[in-house]
Amino acid sequence: MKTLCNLSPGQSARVMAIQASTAIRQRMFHMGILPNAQIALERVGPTGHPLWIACQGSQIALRLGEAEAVLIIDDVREAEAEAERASATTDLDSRGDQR
Amino acid sequence: MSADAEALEIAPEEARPSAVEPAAPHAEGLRRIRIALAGNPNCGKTSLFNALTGAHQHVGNYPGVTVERRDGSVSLEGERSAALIDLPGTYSLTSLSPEEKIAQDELLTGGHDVVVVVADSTNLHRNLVLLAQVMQMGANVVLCLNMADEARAAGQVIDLVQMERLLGCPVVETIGHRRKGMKELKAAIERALASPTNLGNRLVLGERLDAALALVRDLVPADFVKPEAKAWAAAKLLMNDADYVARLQMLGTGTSTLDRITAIRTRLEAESGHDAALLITEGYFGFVDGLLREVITQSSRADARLLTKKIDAVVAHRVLGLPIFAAAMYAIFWLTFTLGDPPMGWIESGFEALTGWVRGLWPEGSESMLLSLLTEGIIGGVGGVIVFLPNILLLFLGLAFMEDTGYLARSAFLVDRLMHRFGLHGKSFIPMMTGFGCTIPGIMATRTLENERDRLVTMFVLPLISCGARLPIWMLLVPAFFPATWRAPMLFAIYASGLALALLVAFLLRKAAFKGEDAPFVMELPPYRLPTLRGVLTKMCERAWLYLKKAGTIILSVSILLWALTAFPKVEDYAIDARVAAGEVTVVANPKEADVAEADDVNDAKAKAVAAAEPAEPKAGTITEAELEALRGQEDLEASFAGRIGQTLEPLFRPLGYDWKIVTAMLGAFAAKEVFVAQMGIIYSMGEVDEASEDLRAALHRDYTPLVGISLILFLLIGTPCMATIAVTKRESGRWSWALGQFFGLTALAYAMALIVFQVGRLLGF
Ligand SMILES: Nc1nc2c(ncn2[C@@H]2O[C@H](COP(=O)(O)OP(=O)(O)O)[C@@H](O)[C@H]2O)c(=O)[nH]1
Repeated sequence: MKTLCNLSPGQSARVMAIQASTAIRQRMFHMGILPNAQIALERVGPTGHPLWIACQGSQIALRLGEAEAVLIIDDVREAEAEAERASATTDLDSRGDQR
Repeated sequence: MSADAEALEIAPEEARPSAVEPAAPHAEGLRRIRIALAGNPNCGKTSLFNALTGAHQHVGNYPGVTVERRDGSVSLEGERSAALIDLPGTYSLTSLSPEEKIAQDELLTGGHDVVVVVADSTNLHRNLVLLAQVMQMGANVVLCLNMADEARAAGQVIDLVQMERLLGCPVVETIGHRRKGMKELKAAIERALASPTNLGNRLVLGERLDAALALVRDLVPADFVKPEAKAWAAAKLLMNDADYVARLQMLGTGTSTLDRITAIRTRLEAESGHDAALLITEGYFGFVDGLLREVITQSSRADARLLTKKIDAVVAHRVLGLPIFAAAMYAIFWLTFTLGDPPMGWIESGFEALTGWVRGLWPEGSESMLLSLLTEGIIGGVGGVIVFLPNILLLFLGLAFMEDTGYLARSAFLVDRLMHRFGLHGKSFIPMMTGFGCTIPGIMATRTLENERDRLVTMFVLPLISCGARLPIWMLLVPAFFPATWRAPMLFAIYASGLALALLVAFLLRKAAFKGEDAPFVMELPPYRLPTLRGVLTKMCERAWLYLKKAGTIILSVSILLWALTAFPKVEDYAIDARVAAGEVTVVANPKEADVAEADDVNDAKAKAVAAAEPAEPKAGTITEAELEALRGQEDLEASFAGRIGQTLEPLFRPLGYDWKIVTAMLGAFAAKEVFVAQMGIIYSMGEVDEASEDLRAALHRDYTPLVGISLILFLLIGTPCMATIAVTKRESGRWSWALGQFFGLTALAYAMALIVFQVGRLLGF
């Protein structure tokens, strides 16, 4: 499974899930790092991290630990396919009208 | 963490009537109108708060926590004034950090008539999620779209009328730092006051989720939260928020209710395939997306962050970033200490003049205890605090500038990796660097850290960093015990071991006192903004004022106490006087002023040093009047409480190689580190000395071995943070336990280190 750490600076991807404790998940969600959101790695710190990412209009720094928790799909088409597969089990009617 | 528990219980000082009952008109005049400002960090909330309140504000802390609290008053139409409170800047209202908990509590129980939600117009998608949450709490909302200038410059156009219609609350655009749109904002607040609304039912999170929430809402007991906030409580319970669940459990029927809520959650999660917390957050984002699609008639054409990106390409560069940061830090410290130096001199001479003036009030020969209390206890103590003010002002000016431009976050990004190794945060770096200048501003600079745990750990270890006030001690001790070639390496070793110990203690604290997971490092890097002079100056003055207030309270009382310890009891008959009377010693007049000055300045120092290497006790012969005075001072100190305490504690410090003289001088170091030098001078009956005194060095060299010197240096480096440190730690951490823990913890560590070094050194034959 790919995580944010697999991106190189300049690359972007789509968030699939965040596998972390409630505190970290909640914090990331509220900063806009949500499943399906587009996410880009802008730059890295002097020793390779922290990671500097852009997501939904915010610029955010993440440590390695947090970045590893963000699972991503790098290809847009793959993301769409995944979203479709998910929609088979997910409810489209409850969220489809807003997204 | 205990702070979390405390934070939840922030009690209102006055009874808080349920404020937002849509039907009840406000009985004006009965109680003061209360308004709260809520918003994301960096949305310009502080600027708006300043613009609304002007000078009528008060900065402090929430009880028991390190979170800053800002209160002010704003004048409304018709001579009415309303209480305005600035809530901590938060991205959301979970219970996961003290800031968010406080903001949530204030919103739920603060009895605010209006809640102004401030949003950064250039990042509405994220900023309005907070609006959705405040709506869910049933608050009477005014939406303030700040940074309107930047959004407009980027080409974004918002249909405010449409937005008001869809949301059902007043919406205004403002430019906080230019104080534009304040009239409109106040008018909007008036409108909200005149016709309060509960926007709870305007919030649509999606059919399935709303249905589940409605089911949970019916299960929320009547007194669980105020009636308007039931929807909020329902959402919290549905997402299994630990605090709300615990509170529900405490109620009689809680467990069965909880079981039913769990059933609803399980079904929802099974049907949607996602957990409830995610569904709810997505619901907020979805609501905001839908809203913005309706109201943004023209989205930004230009990239509002273009300039920011260009700057970051240089200053946050992987290779260039650190050297640039180092240069910036150097510039700030250089300015702080060069520009701060002359005013420090003025303040010192001002206090000297004041002392002289006060002395003049007592005719020669009639000096009393009161005079000594005034000059040595009060003026001396307060002067010692105020003298650092120029440095503090300048440093905070630099810091406020870095903070408000957004550069501080970049610097934290650059050094976080290093700091994190020791359990600290990237933003701990600047407070720690500041600590080399003075521990006090360092501790106060921990306010720039967002996380309470990081703030507490950083302030705990700050005294380990060798501050400027300790430099005089090193300047006295190092040359006294070490040959010239060893002096520079020793000085370096002192500073380096202080820093190393600070990092080590931080690491251990993280492992012991703050076990468990790190707070998430999800740090926003806000766009660069040019701060206004007024904004930066305000911030600087606030912090300087907090520092000064200490001079009037704790520090003043402790200096009076320390003064009393050294001033009492008085010696009635000096031994030296008896010897003079017996003709053993003759007193001659002081040499002329000019001679003294010359002897002090020029190479006579060496000759004097040789003379002083002899015991200071005059065996026979003549002494000058000044020497007589000094010898009386020595007897005074020896007989004083401080001297007696030193003598009593001597056995305790013997294993470290200290005698009562050192222990007594260390009592003085508690008042302010550099007082150690002066106390040593008095004990060695040299009158007033400074750290460059060769006599004192020679005397120390005579009485103690270099091993004692090292042990002493270690103790003064690590242990007994000065009283100003204790006082400021108390105020910044909000609890005595932390300040006293710091004092005794570090002193114990100092004792252990000095003990080990001295005993091992002795075994090795030094
Ligand atoms: N361009 C622009 N800058 C603003 C506005 N309001 C505040 N600022 C600047 O944004 C920075 C952060 O503001 P501050 O009030 O400290 O934000 P807070 O973190 O929300 O309290 C400062 O440099 C302000 O001068 C605004 O409306 N437009």
